[in-house]
Amino acid sequence: MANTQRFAFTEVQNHLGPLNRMPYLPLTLRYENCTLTASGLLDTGATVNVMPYQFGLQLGAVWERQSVPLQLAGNLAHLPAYGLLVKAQIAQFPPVDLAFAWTSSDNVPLILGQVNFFMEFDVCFYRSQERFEMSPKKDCS
Amino acid sequence: MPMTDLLPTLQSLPHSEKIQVVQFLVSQLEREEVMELLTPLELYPIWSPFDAVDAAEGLLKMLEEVKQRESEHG
Repeated sequence: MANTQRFAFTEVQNHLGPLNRMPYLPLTLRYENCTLTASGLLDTGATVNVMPYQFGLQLGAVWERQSVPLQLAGNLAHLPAYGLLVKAQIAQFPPVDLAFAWTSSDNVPLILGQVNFFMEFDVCFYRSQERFEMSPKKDCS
Repeated sequence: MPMTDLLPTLQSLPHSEKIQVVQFLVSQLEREEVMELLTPLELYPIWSPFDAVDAAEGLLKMLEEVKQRESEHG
């Protein structure tokens, strides 16, 4: 992959021994005039990106003013969510628009899923080496 | 039962039963390797919004509208 950035898996606080390293990606999110630095869990099994409630608040989003209701699935299926569009800055790559399902739960990580993180970036996982590599999508136009 | 007692018994088994013993031990070893990583009845949360097709369509529509607005103001 050209223009590739390499990241190490991140150690998470749990009791799972060899399973306590996960592919978290550091990124900066920008919404209107607010900025938030966070780490998102790369999850190829997630249909959409997911943003925990407090993250949206820290970005200055107002829950009651959201206008795009969404229905999530799995553990988040019973909780309300809204679509939230933010600008994401990752490493030295150009900023991209990422659409998140902003959930009313805080018991969930920031999730980067198929729509639309993996539509914007190509990622290779090397789990045995506890690292992943990514690059912006190739412009096919 | 110590190995020294067990080995003669295993040696005396017919060929097909020796194979069954080998298969049994292999499956036991695989099970033990998995159990080192995963604990029975432990809670392993899965947060992936799997198959959230409607949510995906909603977000894609949102992205499309933004792109349209940006190209109109181009």
